[in-house]
Amino acid sequence: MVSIEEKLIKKIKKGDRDAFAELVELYKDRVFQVTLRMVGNTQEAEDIAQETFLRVYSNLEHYDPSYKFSTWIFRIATNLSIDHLRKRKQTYSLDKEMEGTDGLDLHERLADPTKGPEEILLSGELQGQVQSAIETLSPKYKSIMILRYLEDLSLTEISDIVKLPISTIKTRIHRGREALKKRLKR
Amino acid sequence: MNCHQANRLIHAVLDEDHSFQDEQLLKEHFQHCIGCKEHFHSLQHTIVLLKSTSRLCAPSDFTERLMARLPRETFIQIWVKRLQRHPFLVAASLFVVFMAGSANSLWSQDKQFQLTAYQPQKLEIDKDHNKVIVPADRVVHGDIVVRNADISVEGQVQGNVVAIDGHIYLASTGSVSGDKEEINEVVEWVWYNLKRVVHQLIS
Repeated sequence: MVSIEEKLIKKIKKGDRDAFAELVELYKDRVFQVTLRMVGNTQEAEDIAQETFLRVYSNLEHYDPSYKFSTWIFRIATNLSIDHLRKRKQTYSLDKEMEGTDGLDLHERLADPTKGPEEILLSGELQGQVQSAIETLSPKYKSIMILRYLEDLSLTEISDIVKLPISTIKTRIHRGREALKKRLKR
Repeated sequence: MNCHQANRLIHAVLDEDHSFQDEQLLKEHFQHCIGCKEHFHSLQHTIVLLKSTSRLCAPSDFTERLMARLPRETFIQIWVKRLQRHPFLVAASLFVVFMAGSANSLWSQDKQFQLTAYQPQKLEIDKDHNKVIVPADRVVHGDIVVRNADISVEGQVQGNVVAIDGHIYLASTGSVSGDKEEINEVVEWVWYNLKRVVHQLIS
């Protein structure tokens, strides 16, 4: 059985742009969901999602068909999000020195994202609580928790996406669950 | 079972990676350890919360904006795409273009005097009058084609005689065993070529 993705990829390789648009339509919501939960800001999330698809388009030759297409695209999306968070952290640490807020943990500062108008989307009461709990996680835990519980992926698929053994994934999920539990305590 | 072991089992259960026996052991532990039981329930609650988050869709113009950012198509890609969509039309138009080109170049070559014959040494050429002569006492085998000149047949020709942009003069002593043909118009010339091609294909 040839998947829809495989058929589309064949056409795209021949230069069919409409096939690429179809592929984008298939995956844009799932990719956006992941990047949005990773960075917690719709504008940045959209930029990263766009970048993800541009990478897919220009690196299609390197796609290994022995993995599911979703595995590949989620890997690109999570890696770009983690890179983005790292860059953001660097700018924050510059601020930190200037303001001299020694007592504050960097994570706690990140946990309180500046809420622009677009954040309203994420902040229904409970929705907002869950999102800000996710934001407290460090990127490597965050990506795994999002893939496991928001994308509902199997441990095996997550292990393929982040290229780590299943045992490591399990440990991170256990710790991630404990950390989120503390944040979401009733 | 102590609480540390119980905690490991709790996560195994949440990962759906446990045996029936594990579950029984855990239930037993919960009966006398409220702390672990609550811990388990609040972890379950956390998972339910995570899974209940609303799914947000990408902006409606996402695809459109992305497509505008793709690297521009090259000239070759555009043509390949057209070819894939309308292969017959493209092939037909290319055929017409090439045919017109080659026909035109063939026709414009024809300004010069040209003689094609199987035995040219038996023919005489009168350059002043732009004329090819088949001498009276000779027998010439094979076809003779003359361009931009006249041909005067005084002897015998065992084959066809064709004059393109010229005339065939047959003297009383002369004879042509095949066809005699004078071609002076483009259309006729094309018709002649077509006939020749068809003839070659058949024979």
